[in-house]
Amino acid sequence: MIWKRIGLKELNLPEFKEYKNEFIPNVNGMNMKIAKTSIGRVYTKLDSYRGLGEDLEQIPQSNHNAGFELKVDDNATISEPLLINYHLDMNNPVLIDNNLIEAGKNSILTLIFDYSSDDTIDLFHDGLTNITVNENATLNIIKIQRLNSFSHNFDTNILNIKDNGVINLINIELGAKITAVNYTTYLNGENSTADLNSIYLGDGERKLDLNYAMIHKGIRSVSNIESKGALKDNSVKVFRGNLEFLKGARHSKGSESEYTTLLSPSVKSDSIPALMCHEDDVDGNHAVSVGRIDENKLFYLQSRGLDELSAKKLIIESSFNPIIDKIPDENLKRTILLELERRI
Amino acid sequence: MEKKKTKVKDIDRRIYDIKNELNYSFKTDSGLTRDIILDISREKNEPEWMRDFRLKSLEIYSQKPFPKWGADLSDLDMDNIVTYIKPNTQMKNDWNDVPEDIKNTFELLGLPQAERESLAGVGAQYDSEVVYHNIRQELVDMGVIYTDMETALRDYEDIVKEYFMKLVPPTDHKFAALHGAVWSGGSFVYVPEGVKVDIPLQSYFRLNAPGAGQFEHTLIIVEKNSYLHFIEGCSAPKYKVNNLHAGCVELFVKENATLRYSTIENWSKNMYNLNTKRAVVDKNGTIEWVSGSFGSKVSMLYPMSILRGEGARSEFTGVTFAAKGQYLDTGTKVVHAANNTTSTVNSKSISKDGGHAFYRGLLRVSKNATGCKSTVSCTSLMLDNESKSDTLPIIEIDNDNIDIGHEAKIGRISDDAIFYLMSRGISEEEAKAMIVRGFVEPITKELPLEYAVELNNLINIELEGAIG
Repeated sequence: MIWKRIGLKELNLPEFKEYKNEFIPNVNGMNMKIAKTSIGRVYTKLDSYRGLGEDLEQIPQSNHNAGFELKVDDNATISEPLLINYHLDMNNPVLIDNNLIEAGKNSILTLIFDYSSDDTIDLFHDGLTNITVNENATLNIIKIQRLNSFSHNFDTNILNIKDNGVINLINIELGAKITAVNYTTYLNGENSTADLNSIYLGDGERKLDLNYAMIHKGIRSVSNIESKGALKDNSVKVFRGNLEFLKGARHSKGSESEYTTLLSPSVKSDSIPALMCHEDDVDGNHAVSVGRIDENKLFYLQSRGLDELSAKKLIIESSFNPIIDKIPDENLKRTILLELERRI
Repeated sequence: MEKKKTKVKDIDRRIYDIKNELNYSFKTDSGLTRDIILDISREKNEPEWMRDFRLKSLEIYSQKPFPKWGADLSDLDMDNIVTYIKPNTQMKNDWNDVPEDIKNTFELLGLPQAERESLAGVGAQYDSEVVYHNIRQELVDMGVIYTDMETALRDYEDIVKEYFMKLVPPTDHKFAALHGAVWSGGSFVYVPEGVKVDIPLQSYFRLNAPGAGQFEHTLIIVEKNSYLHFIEGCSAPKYKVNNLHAGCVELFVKENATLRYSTIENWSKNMYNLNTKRAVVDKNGTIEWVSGSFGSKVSMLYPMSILRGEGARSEFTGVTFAAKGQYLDTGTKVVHAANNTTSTVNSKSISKDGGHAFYRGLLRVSKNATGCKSTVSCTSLMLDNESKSDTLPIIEIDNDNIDIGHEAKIGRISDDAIFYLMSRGISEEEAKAMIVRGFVEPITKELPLEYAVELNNLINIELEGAIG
């Protein structure tokens, strides 16, 4: 299915290679434990495949070459964000990361994943991250993907939230030739909350397939998906938002919205926002809007002396900024802003 | 505080459930074979090309798989479906000549009365053949053709040959192929250039025989600058065996013409309603769909508008009401294939008592269709938590010069709204009733209710203030 829409007919999976770059900071003892996952051991067993298909979800389950296990102690508040740095290059062209994260009761943590690369060769990333947010914990996850334009990027994320748990997700997709990501969040606990913000930029021949699912099981659970993106040149994007209320998720609320700005005549933009409801006492809605930049806004900015390109940049950046602002790492923030500035 | 719920009654089905004794002059065996197709074609005395078309469709049918998405069709056994039942009468143009039992059925459904009062023409199909067809003389004088498909094939063979299953080819999907093989009955309408038919035409399709299928074909051509409102009604009594309806509707809207196509579908709850409807609209033409899906056990119905002329327009207004035991998978498809085309979709669904309403939609803007605008709005109301309500819209955009908006909402009756109305002195019961009525109002106001008593019965959703 996914391959039909982004037009990927076949994919040659790379040979298993070692990944030797360092990626985790040494934070043991600071109210948490972190260790690399053992190669060959199955940490997460996916019983059903969510979107990237059996092949791509199978690889990181058992054949990973990197990854970590992180457990945050109960009641720990960790004020410094933790930066996980996965960097692909000529010597480490394949990254299969299998990550396991558990936020203890009442804990607070911010985790940044930065997937980057420098060499202009075809790199391959296929990851699996399994996240558990325990009672009353708050976990902020920021995943930034800025691999080079020759790469393939696949990423599966499974999240479970218990009573009163909160997860704030930010997914920034700027790189790779083909990128397909899946975030499936199970709001299992009463009062659990999940918020997902995504921004993306498609340019050149880039193809993006973004799957975001919120599955409400707990009473009074609240979820929100908000995706904003811009497409130019020959880029292709597929957005799949899936908001599901299972029976028993009373008083729950969910919303998803997607805004796509189209900058070139040859882009292709598909949106499939699904809303599945098996419980009547809920409030669910979705909205999609696709179109060009508002002529009036452009005209106004141009009347203030900006040329068309700068005006367009300003409008798009202003829609991305509230999300980029949430990145608690000044260096990364600057890098992303520069990257956007250069490419829009 | 315990939340209270409004009870909404099922639609009163007594009128629809009246069964007549099976009285036919010709009936094929159940199932689907080459011989059966040849029998049907021979019985209808068809031209050779149509017989060959049927046989070819049968071939396609046997090669096509069942759809893997949507409804569960495992209960539908084609070997037990009788595809052709000819009632024991010829087509009449006076109700008094129609056999008493058949006439009474349509009398109860309010059709003759509606014809006298507010329709310009009526067609009535009973099982596989049209038993009554009539059109006002002044329309005939203007050159409007309104007749059953068999007569059209005989008298206007060239037109039928040019258009028949060109928009929905048998290769489209399995049930289109089935339709191509066993189609029977249906209506043919031709409105010449510049003619505005200001009073609606209505065809009514009634399936009386148990374990049978109805495969009527509707072909409407509205020429340049013309106008037509066509109403289609369907019903059947309930049996313990499954019935199948796989009709096909092809609408050709020429330059500057407008066609409004209203359907009230109230099949019984043993019916598989797998219907295909499609319109192609030329420059500055308009297609308006008004669609009410109330009956059937399983429905898969997605009227499609292909906007191929510059400035063409489509409007879709639909209500789906899924009650106990029903899986109604409905929606609409719009293809913007020319510049500056516009479309509006407004879909409402209600599910209750374990009913499952599924909105499935497609909106596609082709590569060279610039300046297109579309708004889609889907709203679902769930009346209890035994029911299910799903929304799956697909939006495919292939160029940047467009303006697309889509919205969907699911929920139940809001306590705030009830509280507000109560604060204005309205009783709780009435407040809830008002909200449900208000919810379906966009479609009730589009429906030509005064035209037929039957339509009225359907929309008149009875509200009872019972609380609990």
